[in-house]
Parts: sequence; structure tokens; C-alpha cells
Amino acid sequence: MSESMTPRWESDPILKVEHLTMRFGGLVAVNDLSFSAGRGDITALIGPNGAGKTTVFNCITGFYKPTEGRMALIHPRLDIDAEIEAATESGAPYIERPSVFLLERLPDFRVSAEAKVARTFQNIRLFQGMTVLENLLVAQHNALMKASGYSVRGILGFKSYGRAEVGAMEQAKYWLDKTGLTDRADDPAGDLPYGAQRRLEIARAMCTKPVLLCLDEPAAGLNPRESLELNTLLNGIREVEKTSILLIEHDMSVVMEISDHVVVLDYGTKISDGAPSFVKNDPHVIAAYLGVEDEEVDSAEAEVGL
Amino acid sequence: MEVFLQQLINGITLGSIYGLIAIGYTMVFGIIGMVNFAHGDVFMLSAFVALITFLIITSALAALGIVASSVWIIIALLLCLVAAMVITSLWNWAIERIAYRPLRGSFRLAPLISAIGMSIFLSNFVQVTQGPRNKATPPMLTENITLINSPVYNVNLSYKQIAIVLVTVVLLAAFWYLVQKTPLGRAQRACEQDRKMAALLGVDVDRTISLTFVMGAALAAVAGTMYLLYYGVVSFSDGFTPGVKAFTAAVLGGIGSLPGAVLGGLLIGLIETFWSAYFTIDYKDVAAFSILVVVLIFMPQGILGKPEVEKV
Repeated sequence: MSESMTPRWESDPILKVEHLTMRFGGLVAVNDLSFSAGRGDITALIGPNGAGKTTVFNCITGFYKPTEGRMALIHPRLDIDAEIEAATESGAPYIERPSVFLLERLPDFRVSAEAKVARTFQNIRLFQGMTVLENLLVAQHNALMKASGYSVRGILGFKSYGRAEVGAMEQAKYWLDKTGLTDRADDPAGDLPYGAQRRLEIARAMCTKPVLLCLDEPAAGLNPRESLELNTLLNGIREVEKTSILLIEHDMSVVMEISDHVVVLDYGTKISDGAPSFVKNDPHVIAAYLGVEDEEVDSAEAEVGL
Repeated sequence: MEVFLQQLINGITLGSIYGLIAIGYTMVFGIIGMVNFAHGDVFMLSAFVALITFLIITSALAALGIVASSVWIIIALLLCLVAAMVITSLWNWAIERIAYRPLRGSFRLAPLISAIGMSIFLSNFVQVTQGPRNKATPPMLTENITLINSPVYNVNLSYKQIAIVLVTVVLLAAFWYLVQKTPLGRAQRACEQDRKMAALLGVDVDRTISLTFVMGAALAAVAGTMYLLYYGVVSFSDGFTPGVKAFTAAVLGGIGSLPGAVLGGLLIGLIETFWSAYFTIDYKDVAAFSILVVVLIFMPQGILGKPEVEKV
């Protein structure tokens, strides 16, 4: 993307965060943060420890209700043919589908079920006691519940439910295959090695068919090979599934390599926002990461050879 | 030997009833970590619903001039079962909605106290509306199969007992299928492990919890109907002792574990009947609770319970 063009996060955003503030008692974890994430982009949210990155995620995914601010999720333009088909199937003259979701107004389960935002956690939160496959099926709960008539039709063995279940299994198998977990499908999720658990968490999030996938430090604790596999997986998600990704990451090699857009936080405030090449050379960012005052940036830069 | 066999039959019957109630305790505990003290009274309520339904049906039959043969009795009992399950489920759904859900997210003891309040409310409600005396059904399904005919002691297997064990087994199988194989059951197990994460995957946690209460109540209603069939009488205070026993069964089997609840129920039923037969009937409750104490000393998480894992 050339510098003269309007960047995608401004011309075609999927998420617009405006004036987001989150206070815990007297502590301001996020302070008047505004940024946008472009549709189809990988947007990285970076910053030193305690900068408020995870709090932003918690607000976006309905974990916290923000003290102030607006977070709008804009759904993608629709697949026209599929829409026409769906309208025909429905029997009604048209179908209504909301295109904008104000995330701060949605209760947590609807952020995933309706706005289609999925997330993973820094400390992995799988359903340890359930099998790998079941973890992926829980993520498709809504579609299945609807088809099963809230389990009544499922028990009675209705065809429509059978079809939905086959669909859910196929979706699960697709992601098992993508993440290389097919062999372990029937093992309890808690028995998987660490790297595999990370991949499973991403697969589970993808099974909710999100338009925006929020990943909280997906590369944490991975060895270089696993880190590389992760990059491939994320690039695949962007290219094939067309899912936009919002990413918190400490590993700068991951950030610089795969992200299209970087937002830098420090003490809950945005200090830089732009393409990776721009952010990398922003003195504020360097100051925040090296821990020096603004006036000393020049000398600090000279020391690290910039 | 004859006495042993007879008590085994009695114990399994009683244990089935305890097991059905215990599932309600264990499921609710598993999913929201709360002991639903009103569950025993929900069970009592269901026995009343079954009783009222039964009396309505039999008087309707009498009004129509139909002689209540055993076929009619069985049909009437099935209708009682369905009525009790439906009405009790609605009750328990309402209880959860009114007394527990608004307190979720409050401090841990709040819903517990609310549950105790609900328990008192339910037993008093039934006392006021149905009267404080024992209510009895006409005797039904009184036939026996004599398994061993000995001069000293006849071993009998009554039709009632067969019906109770049969209904229990069928419903437990259906219930097991529901929890293991359907999306609802999967969502319940997911909520049990990590409610917040389940919500982030689009599972409506509040609705799942409501449905858990409904399922627990339906099973308690089966137990209530079977209790009425077995003993033939019910009173407003009958929720307490079976409720406490079933809770004990759930703890004994490992609270949170469904097979544990059934196993615990059977154990408590067996301990109680064997103690009554071989020692003294006055101390049967003491025996059941003493076993609980001993088991918990050596296996604090119960027989089939999972050890407590610290959540990060």
C-alpha cells in the first residue's frame, strides 16, 4: 500500500473504536483510545506490559463494559449470491440483516453469536475436560441449537438437525486438518502439548465463523518453528477465510512480518498508529519500549543505531 | 440370604429415587457452584402435583363410570409423571429466574441464602394450600412377584419396584444421551468448565443454566412421582429428609459428577435399608451420614469426583 493512498483502516474499517475509556476504580486502564481496524487486515495492538492491550480486547469481546466510548463493528459487504439464495429460502420478500453492531451494548454471548467476534486468550482457555472435537463443536453451538430445536428435534432424530450436525462436523474436521490436530480429535483438550493447545484455541475461535478474530499473544511460549507455523496459519485465515484479525503480540518478528497496521499503546493511551514501517521508526514507540523520556529519544536512538 | 436379597431389592429401589434427586443437586452445583437447597422441596412439590393429577384422573374415570383396572392405573401414572415433570420444571424455572439469577455475580452466599428461603417458602406454600396432614393415594400396583418362597421369609419383588427401577433406568439413559450427545448437553458441560469462555463462543449461559434447572426439576419430578407410588403418602415436610439424603448422595458420589450422583444415591439407599434390616431402623439416617463422613475423610472429592484444580 502506497503512503499517498488512504489506508484501508480508514477507507474500509471493520472495527471502529472511538474514545474508549476503561476505569477500574481510580485506575485508568485505557484512556480515550480511538483506532480503526481495516477489513481483511491483520492489525496488531502492541505496547509494553500493562499498557492496557488486554483490557481493550476485554471491552471489544464483551468481557468488560467500557466506562466510556463506542466500539462499532461493521459487517462485511455480503456475498450477493448467497444472500439471494437465503432470501429465496426464507419465503419472505427480503431478509433483514444488521450491518453495524455497537459492541458495548451487546451482552457477551451475543458479541460472538451475532456480531461474530471471536477471541483467544493469553493464558489458554480450552474446555480441558472435553475432547478436541467437542471443543470445536461447542463453538458451533448456536447453529446446532437452532437446527436441533433446542435439543427436542435432536433427540427425536429430525433430518434438519442431522444435516446441521454433519455440517458442524465437516467444519470441525476442516479446522482439525488446518491445524494438524486430526489425529488427536478424540483426546481431551487438556492432554495436548502447549503449541497444539494454542492452535486448537484458534481453530475453536474460527469455528464460530467470525468476521473479526482477536488473538491475545498467540505466539507466547511458542518455539521458533511453532511461531512460523502460526504465521502460516494466520496468513491462511486472512487469505482463505477473509477474516480480519486483531492481534496483541510481544514478538516483534511476528508483528512486523504479518501485520498490515500497528497500533501502539502505552499506559492506556495511543502513542502511535500506522503501517509497521512507520511505527517502527516512531520515536514515541522507541521511547516507550526503551523506557526513556521524550527529550532523550535522540540519544537513545543513537545508542541502538537508528 | 433371603433377607439380604429382599433388602437389596428395597435398597436399589430407594437408591434410584435418591439418585434421581441427587442429579439435580450435582448438575446445578457443577454449572453455577451453588447448592440448591430448595431442590428437596421441589421434589416434594412434584409429588403433590402427581398426587393431584392422579386424584383428578381417578375421579374423572369414576365420573365416566370406568372401572379403574390396572391398565388404567398405569396410564394414569404415566400421565401423572408427565404432568409432574412439566409443572415442576416450570416451577423450578421460575425459582431460578426469580430467586437465583438476580443474585448471580453477587457474593457467593447470597444465592445460597436465597435457596434456603425458597425451600422454606415452598414447604410453607404447600402446607398452606394442601394442609399440614399426610396426603394418601389409594393403593395401586399392589401385586408382587414372589422370587423365593421359603417358610421363613418370602422374597418379593413388587410391581411398584419394577416400575420404579425401570422408569429410572430409562430416564437416566435418555438424560445421559442428552448430556453427552446433544448441543445442549455440550453447552452445559462447557459452561461447567468455563462459563465466561462458553459465553465468548456464543453460548447463551443464562439460558443454559435455566435449562439445567428445568432438567434437574424434571428428574426430581420423576423421583417425586416414584416416591408417591412407593410410599403412597406425601406431606409438605417430605422434601427435607430425602433432599438432604440426595444431597449427601451427590457429595458421596463426587459433587459435579453425574454417574457419581447415581452411584451415591444407590449407596445411600442400600446402606439405609441394610442398616434398618440388620441393626436398628432408628439409626438408619445416622448410618448413612456416618458413611459419608468416613468416605469424605479418605476421599474428599467423593467417589467419582475430580480433584479440585486451581483455575488460573
